[in-house]
Amino acid sequence: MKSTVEFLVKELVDNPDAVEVSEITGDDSTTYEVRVSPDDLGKVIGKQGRIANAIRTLVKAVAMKDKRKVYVEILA
Amino acid sequence: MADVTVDTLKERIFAFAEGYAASTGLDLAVSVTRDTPDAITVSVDGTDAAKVVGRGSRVLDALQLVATTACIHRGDPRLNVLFDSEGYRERREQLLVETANDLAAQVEEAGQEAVLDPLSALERKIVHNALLDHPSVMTYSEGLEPNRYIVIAPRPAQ
Repeated sequence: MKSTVEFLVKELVDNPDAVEVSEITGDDSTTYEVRVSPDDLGKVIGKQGRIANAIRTLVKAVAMKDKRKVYVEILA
Repeated sequence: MADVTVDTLKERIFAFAEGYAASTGLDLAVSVTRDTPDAITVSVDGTDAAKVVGRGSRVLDALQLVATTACIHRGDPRLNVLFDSEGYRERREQLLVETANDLAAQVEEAGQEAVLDPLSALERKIVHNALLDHPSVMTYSEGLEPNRYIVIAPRPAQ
């Protein structure tokens, strides 16, 4: 799943080298903290969070088989 | 930078779909099922295909949104991109047209409006087009995305 988050975010940004994804594992949930260059923040979030929500949908689709909750947080 | 051609965009979209499929670790295979001068349909099939469709095709639609945002930029030529899976879009279109015709018949008989569940812009277009030439009902959309829905109403007498 981490590879999916990384792939999607790197495809969207102008500075893929600045993308960092860390995985925080809880009891029944996993949080992915995504750090991007401040210039790329808008590209990853999109108007009214449309892109950020689409990323969440795509990551959750993969997480379904593990029955875990998945959160994706986007930070500059 | 040289001008981007439609073929370049198609290659980018296909590479994106393959990259996503590979990143998931799921059993997915990507292929182009329709290729015209201004449109491409990319199908994601395989034993895990149901996962990339999602309820009401929300995953397919998300894939389509992220792919077009990542691959097509301002100034690029126009390209319609559709993501599909195991023939989902065609089955869905048949169901939508069938539902539209059934509801149109009810509206015609009862003389009262009927409302459909919220649909994406793409799916609303299918319903609007299905009833465009209907002699006694008309369609319009109400509400705000993502809960915009179609109303089928009796056509006012001319």
